Amino acid sequence: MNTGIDAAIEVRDLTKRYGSTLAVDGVSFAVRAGHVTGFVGPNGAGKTTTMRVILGLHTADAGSALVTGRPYRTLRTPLRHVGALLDAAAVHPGRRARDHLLWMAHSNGLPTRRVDEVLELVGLGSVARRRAGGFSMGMRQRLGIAGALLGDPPVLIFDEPVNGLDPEGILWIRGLLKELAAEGRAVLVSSHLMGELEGSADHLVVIGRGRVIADTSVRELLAAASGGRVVVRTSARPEAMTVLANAGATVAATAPDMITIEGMGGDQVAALLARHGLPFSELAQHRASLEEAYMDLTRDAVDYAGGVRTETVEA
Amino acid sequence: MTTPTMERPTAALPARDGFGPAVRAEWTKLRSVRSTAIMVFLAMALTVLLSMLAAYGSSTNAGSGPTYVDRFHFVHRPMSGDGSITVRVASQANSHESARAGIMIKSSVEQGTPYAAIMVTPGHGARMQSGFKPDVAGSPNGAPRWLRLTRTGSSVTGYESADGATWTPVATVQVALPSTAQAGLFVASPGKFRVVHYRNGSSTSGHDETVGRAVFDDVDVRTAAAPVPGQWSDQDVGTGPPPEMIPPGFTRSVPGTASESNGVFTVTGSGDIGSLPPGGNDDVVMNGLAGVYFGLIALMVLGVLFATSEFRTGLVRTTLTVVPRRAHVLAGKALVVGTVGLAAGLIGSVGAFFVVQPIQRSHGYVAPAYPPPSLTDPTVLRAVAGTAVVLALLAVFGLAVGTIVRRTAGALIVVLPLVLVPALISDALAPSTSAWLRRLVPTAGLAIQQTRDRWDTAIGPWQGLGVLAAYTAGALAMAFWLLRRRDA
Repeated sequence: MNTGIDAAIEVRDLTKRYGSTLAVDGVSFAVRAGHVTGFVGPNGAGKTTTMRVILGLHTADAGSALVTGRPYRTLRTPLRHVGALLDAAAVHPGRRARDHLLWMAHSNGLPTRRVDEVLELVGLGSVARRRAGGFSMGMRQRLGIAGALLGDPPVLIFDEPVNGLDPEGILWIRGLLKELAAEGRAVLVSSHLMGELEGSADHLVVIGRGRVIADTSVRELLAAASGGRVVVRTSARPEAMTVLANAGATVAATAPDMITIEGMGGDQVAALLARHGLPFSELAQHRASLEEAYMDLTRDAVDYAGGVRTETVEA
Repeated sequence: MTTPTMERPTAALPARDGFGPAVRAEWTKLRSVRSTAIMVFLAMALTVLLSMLAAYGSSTNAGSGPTYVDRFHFVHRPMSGDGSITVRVASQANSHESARAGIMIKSSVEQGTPYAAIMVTPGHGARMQSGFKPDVAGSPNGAPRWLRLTRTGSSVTGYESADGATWTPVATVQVALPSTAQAGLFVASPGKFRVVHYRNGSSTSGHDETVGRAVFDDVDVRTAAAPVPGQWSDQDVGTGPPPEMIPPGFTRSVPGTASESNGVFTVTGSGDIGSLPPGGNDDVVMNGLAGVYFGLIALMVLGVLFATSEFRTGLVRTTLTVVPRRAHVLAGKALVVGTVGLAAGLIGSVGAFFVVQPIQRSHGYVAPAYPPPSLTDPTVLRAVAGTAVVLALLAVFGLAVGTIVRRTAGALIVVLPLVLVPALISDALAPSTSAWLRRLVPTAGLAIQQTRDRWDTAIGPWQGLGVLAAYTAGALAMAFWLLRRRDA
């Protein structure tokens, strides 16, 4: 059933239903070694459910999820194969950070020295003997990541690891993710904010309403999202808009002296404006940010659209 | 903080799979939170302290009274020197299986003086007795029966016969008799024990007096070969309990009677002859462990929390991710919390056992009625060690219910009433309902603490422990099934 020799995680036609709610609807994707795969989608899109099924916590109604070619629940020392951070808040508040990692290490027969190694690795060495109840969200994220790294696994799964981190922590995570992938590990990292993954993920699986919307590299996604849009700065905005619209383009005013044109190439726009003697000072092919590309993709897939922020201003 | 440097993935990191690591992980979890230490300490401290409190509130009057009972109706005449008395007990009313009708040679009519007696009983055949020692059993025959006592110096031999011709000796006893003793017929019948439960939950126990009745004929008292002439007299030896000691509703004692007509004697009387039971009827070992009832709550809550804290925090997902074999997780938890329960229970029950003993002694629980209990006595050991087993099982029961219910409050609402409600309401129920209730709840396991058969015993020690074990096994099986089946 393997599609590729380097598919560390392979999800195939996965369906999961909770009562009448279809949480995951035929999701398929693969996570390859040596890459950071971003798993993005709005809240409630099915990311966490998919991850729980991958980790054998929830049983799929249909389809399969394999980790290094096997169902997770058949793994015997799972920490040596897969490290997972699901919910950083899921620690007993009365247990010391070191003890939290210690019981995890014991469960897979890992040596105690490994606990101290990962504590240093995530920067919690100095608070190892403090109780997790007093930890900030950022410290808990680090503790959770330490747990995922305990068994030095080739596959890592992080659910929203950036949540609650300060800017320094976010930078740290980004560096860590890239480094883990550079070491040849497969890294699956979920987020509901595309911006969090910008600069660290090199492959994206976008999910909305339980379905995969896009499964693509970051470069391809950006190119697709930017396609065919031209931005022009002009002092004669109304006239330019009329001319371009009459020529069949879709025109939007995005600032007092700025218009965005869709459905017409840059050269054509320049020629048209010149022919009508309209002045323009700047003409650029628009470059979409990852966030915008994501917004385009998920606009239809957002369950609760009221809170969605768009960056295009309608004329 | 700086970006850390990961070492390359190494194959050198050793790992081990199996039940052993799962148990070790659960042990690390259990010992690394403060609530464990608090609950274990509470279990031990409550057991010892509340057992002490109960001992301070206990009292007994056992040991203050006589160690024998000597009460019957006596129809007698003096007999000087060696001699014998022969009689046929023609009939005996079945007032009590141990009612006594027979003949006696006694120093005097004073209570407690030396005597030798042979008698028949409705339920236990012919018996011979002296010195308030246990009876010597004769034939299993009751009335009609011929009986004879022969005195030679300080020796008295008892005989019985079916026909008055062929005599069988029952026993020869040594009795310190004066040269002139009283010889004659006697009748006694012990009271019957009864417990009355009232609607308000209280209960009273006491004895209903019974009246024995027997008909004697062919009475013959002689020294050497000559019949002893003289007048018969009769009286009650000893007295019944004073009226104020008899609870309302119980049958009171009546004086014995005797009548004679043509050599046929009809005698009635109440009472008994012999030693009192070696001790009072209080179960000092069980009473000395009374505080366990509160200690077990702490351990059961520990079991509940060991499960529900994982569900509350979501930690259970981490647990099931690192140990995907869910049976290992629950079995490991059960083993760990059960062992902790056993250890805490042992410390608590052995501690309570020794701490309460001086208190019980100072409250009247002394030999001979209450010889000091010893752990070398298998029954006592069963009570003390069994208490620890009960605590271990209840901790596992709490764990199982916590796994099934998943929420702390919900699980406590299930387990606490199971333990507390019977203790609170059983006294208010009809006795038979209350006994059934106490047989059917998990705390029936505390029956393992019984060291005496008492009228208020609801269930035997092992059966009671069996009830608790069944609860624990059932809950654990359901918890296994649900944990395997449910999404985490």
